[in-house]
Amino acid sequence: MLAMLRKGGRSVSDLAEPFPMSLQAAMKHIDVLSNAGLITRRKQGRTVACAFRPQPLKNAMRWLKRYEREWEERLDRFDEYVTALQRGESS
Amino acid sequence: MKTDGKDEVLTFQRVVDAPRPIVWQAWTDPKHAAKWWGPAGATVPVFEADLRTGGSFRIEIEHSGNTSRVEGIYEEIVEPERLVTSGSLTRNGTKLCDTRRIVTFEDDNGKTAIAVQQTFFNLAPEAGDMSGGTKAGMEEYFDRLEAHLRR
Repeated sequence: MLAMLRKGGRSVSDLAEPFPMSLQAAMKHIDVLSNAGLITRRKQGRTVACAFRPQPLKNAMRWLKRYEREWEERLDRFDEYVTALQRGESS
Repeated sequence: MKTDGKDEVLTFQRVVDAPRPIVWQAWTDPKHAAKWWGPAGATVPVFEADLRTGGSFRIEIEHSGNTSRVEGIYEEIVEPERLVTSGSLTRNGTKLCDTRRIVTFEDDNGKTAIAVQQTFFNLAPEAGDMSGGTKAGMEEYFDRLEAHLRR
């Protein structure tokens, strides 16, 4: 469903159509995606339009990238610390 | 990195010009670790560690106005070659994820090769957005999605 929405907004029935499940079951999937903040829903006349909202995934990825950078810095510090320790410069 | 909701794994490697017993001590002894733990510019006001299998640890890191807390247990300690810990990471009071870290130390011609493998579980979608609330973690969300698919 997310793959479909990445290509553009879809109505709930369009989203449910390719899957071998009831419309009711598809609605449950859509609820889960919506609760996780990954899609938005908007009423348009008699249909509900869904759109992909990538921000939560982007946020998590951004944080991991930052964490990765912090670990490299940590290893730099460790390297410096151990080198100093060996020279007897550190208590 | 994957975005399919499975566990995220980061790995780091470094060769340090010091023999393994010294590297092990500097890494595991709170007295030493508190002096280098955390990213550049960080301070470590709390580093409590009961260094034995099943023992717990609690570390607080102050960095760029943020307070991070890591709490967990030592799953496996094989001095001076292997250290496995698991715990959770909280920043400014918001839990970001659970983690498991495997650190191995190998002799390398008088130097020591360090390998860190860190796995993240239950990564919160708002992890990159510190002002975020407390939405369900990515893992929980995908678990629920999977459970729905199996119906």
